[in-house]
Amino acid sequence: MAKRSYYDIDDILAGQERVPCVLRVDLDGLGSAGSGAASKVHRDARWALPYWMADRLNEEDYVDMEVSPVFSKRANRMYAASPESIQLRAICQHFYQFGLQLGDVVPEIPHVLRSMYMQRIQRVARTAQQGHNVEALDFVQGLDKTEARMLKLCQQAESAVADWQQSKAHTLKKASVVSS
Amino acid sequence: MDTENMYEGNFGPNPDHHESSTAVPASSQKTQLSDAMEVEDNRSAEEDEEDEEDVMEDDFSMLMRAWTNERSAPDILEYEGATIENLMELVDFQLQKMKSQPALVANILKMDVDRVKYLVRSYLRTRLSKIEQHARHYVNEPTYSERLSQNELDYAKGFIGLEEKHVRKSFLDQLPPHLRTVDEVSGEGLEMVTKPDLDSAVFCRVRSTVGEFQFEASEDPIAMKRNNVFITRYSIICNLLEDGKVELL
Repeated sequence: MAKRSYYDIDDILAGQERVPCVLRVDLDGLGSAGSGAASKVHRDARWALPYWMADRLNEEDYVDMEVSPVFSKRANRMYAASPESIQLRAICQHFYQFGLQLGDVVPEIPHVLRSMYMQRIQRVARTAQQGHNVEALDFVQGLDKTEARMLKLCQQAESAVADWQQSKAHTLKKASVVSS
Repeated sequence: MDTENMYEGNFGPNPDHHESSTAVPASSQKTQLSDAMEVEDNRSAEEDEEDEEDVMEDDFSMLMRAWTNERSAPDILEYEGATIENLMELVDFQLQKMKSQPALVANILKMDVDRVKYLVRSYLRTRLSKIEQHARHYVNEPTYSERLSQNELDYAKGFIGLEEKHVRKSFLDQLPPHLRTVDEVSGEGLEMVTKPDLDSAVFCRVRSTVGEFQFEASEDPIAMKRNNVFITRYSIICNLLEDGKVELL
């Protein structure tokens, strides 16, 4: 989970997640952009817009942005109940980064994120150390991008420690490109 | 450490060279190098008394400490101009001395000189890579632009110019005029000019006792005694680092 940064790719991708919005004005000729029906879109039509767009339009009062279903009250209760068994990749691939962005607007979200992260990251670290087995496979397939990156880091650290214990850490090896 | 003793040993037995040669600057630290060896031995004998005498540090260990600090810190630290200049003059002096020596001794002296040159090069390279990451920020903020040497400042400005030219030529000039800025703040407070992350974790060792130190506003102060090692956010200890009371690992 990188801090929000202008140039961070994960941040940009996370901002692409859709949030439901209610239009405040009539729009002509943009029907194909929304749900794809008529060419004229009336007020109070519901649209799912990417977060970065919805946030700006919300400020300008063209739409009313609502909380994404990823962080609805029902979803938050589910997260609090059993954090480790939830498949985050199915819900939202950039769960934490998106939560960071929404967290500026919705105050309960940082709390939810923190408790989820604290519980799941322990399981991630355990899985990295024990190697992949069958029951961990489901868990690993349900990680979001941040957790997947952490898993990879932990695995690299594990192999680095093993190398270091066998004194292979700083051995110079002939590059594979230079064949004899 | 062995290398430091080897370095000091080169100058210890020949104090007359310091006075006669004009190439060696009259730095108080070097004329006392032979004393420094003895002071360090005394210090190791008295360490259980928790004595904190000001050990005469020679340029090499100062640069080594500055180098380790520089490599661990997320932002750029003060430039050790004086230390580097002294060391480069010592290197010249040593190279001169090498010419009159038999081959084996010359070899050893050359290894010594190579170690010093490696350290200086690595120090400068670390600083340059940090400058390249956040060039605009370091040039704009006066606290940072003071920490750069004149050469580094010129390098940073040149780098900024090159990057801007490249970006403009590649795609920026094809955008409408009001989208061409490179240093604005976007609507959500995200800045185009990246800053170093001052909250990254660092390991630090205490060099001189600081007493009770407040790490977090909500927690109790922790006693920082000499040789204690802590892991903490950089922003908390950066003032102590500037004063030289802690060093990074």
